[in-house]
Formats: sequence, structure tokens, C-alpha cells
Amino acid sequence: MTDDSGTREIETYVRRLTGALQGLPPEERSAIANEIRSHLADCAARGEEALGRAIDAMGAPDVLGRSYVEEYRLAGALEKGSPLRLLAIVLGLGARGVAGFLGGLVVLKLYLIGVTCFVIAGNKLVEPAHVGMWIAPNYFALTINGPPPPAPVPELLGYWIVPLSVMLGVACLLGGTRLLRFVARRILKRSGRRLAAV
Amino acid sequence: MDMTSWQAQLRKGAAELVVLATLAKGEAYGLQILDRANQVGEVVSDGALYPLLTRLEKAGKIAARWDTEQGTNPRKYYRLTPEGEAMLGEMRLLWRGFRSMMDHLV
Repeated sequence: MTDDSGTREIETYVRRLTGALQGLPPEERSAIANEIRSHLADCAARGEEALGRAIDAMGAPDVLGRSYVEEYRLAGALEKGSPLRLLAIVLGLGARGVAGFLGGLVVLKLYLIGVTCFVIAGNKLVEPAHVGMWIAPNYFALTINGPPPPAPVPELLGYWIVPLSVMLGVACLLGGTRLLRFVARRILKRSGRRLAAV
Repeated sequence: MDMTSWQAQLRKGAAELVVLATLAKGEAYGLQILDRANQVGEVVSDGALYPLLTRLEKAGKIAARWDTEQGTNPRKYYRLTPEGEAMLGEMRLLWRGFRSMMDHLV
């Protein structure tokens, strides 16, 4: 291998890596590309075999690039504390791991239950007769906004449904967010470990 | 059981400690870190090292500077921060405890 072919090989690798880093800000992209280029150039100075070994050990440029992007997006969302953005990223990445995918779905479910609880509390104040919990032998209904059941069935909660729903809603949203951050940290750790095993 | 996969799992957990311990010997750039880390056997691979360095830098455990002196290959040098030194101290203690437990058992 001549110096030229080594340089070409390095530039090809770095170009493919830069392409896989599209999700990152330009300055991050360029810093990563420069560092990998510098590393490969140092290896090339030790000979063609060392460069070949280094390129093999780096792994495919798109896999390396994807791991940088995943880490950047997850770490950014974890730091900025935006649960919806974090949830979207976790669900997107979840396709590559069962635990992440299931964790994301559970969080989504908790958020939906939380929002429903707030809707129940709000509706009770606006249309009290249409919201409540009715229980009788062989009869159970938890109505968010529907017609009340036949008269003999008693409604249990009355206006207590408002604070109870708000408390349950807050618990679901807070619990969901804690679980989401836990799942995101696990994905980050696993992504680091996956790379360490390359 | 696939022994290669088991060995890879062992290396996974050690990579962070090895990189921090390597930098405790002094400032170094990527290839120097790899050389120091892998002098008695491959613990950290090229592909694992750089994302790990980025993560440690963002977490404030290490700091970096570019050396762009003319006529040489530009290199990014890393060094431990006080936070990184503290983390390394804790990791060393845990590692020694774990190693002594395993020596006793195996």
C-alpha cells in the first residue's frame, strides 16, 4: 500500500463515518471525524498492516456513527429533561432492543392513564352527572363522560373522584418519567457496552 | 457456552476503568491510550475507545485539548479531571474487592 492509497482508505472511512453522523451538530461531527482521521493517520504511520487492523477494529463506519448519534440524542434528552422528546427517542431506539421497546410502551401507557385521570377530574367539574364510579352487584362502571347508569345503582366517589384522579394522574406522570429516565440510562449503558465488546 | 462472547462481556465492564487508569499515568492521545491499555492483551478496541472518551469527556471525568502543531498529525490529548480521579479511586477499590472475592472463589 502506498501513502496515497492509505490516505484514500482513511478518507473513505472518515467520509462514510461523517455521513453516518448526520444527526449531530456540525461542530461535533467535525470533531469526531478529525479525531478518527488523526487516529487512523497515526496507525498508517506504523505501516499498512497497522492501518488495516485499526480500520477493522473501528468497525463499520455507519455502526460507529450510529452509536455516536444514539448516545448524543439520548444524553441530550436526558440532560434537558424533556420527557416527550426522550420518550420519542426511546421508542425509536427501542426497535433494537426488547427491553427498551417494552419500557417505552409501559411509559406511554402510564402517560395516557395520567392524562385520562386529568380529563376525568376536569369533566367531573363540568358535567358531574356524567362522571363517576358506579358499583352494584353484577354491575361496575367507571364513566369519564357518558350517561349515568340506571337509577338504583349508587355512585361511590362523588366529588372525591376529582382529587383522587389528580393524585393518580400525577403519580402516573411522575412514575412514567422516572421509568423513562431509567430505561434511557440503561439504553445508554448498553450502547456503551455493546461498543466495548467490538 | 461461547467463550469468545463471555470474554467480550468481561472486557466490556473493564474498559472504563482501564481508560481512566491509563490516563492516571499522564496525558495521552487516542493511540497512546490504546497502546498503554493493550500492552498485556487487548482490553479496549479502537472502535470502543473513542465513543468512551467522548462520554467520559461529556461527563466531566476527563478533559481534552487539541495539539495542532504544524508539521505533525493533529492530536487530541486527554487528561483526568479531579472528578475523574475521584471516580477512578472508587472504581479501583471496587475492582480490588471484586478481584479478591473472585480469587477466593475460583
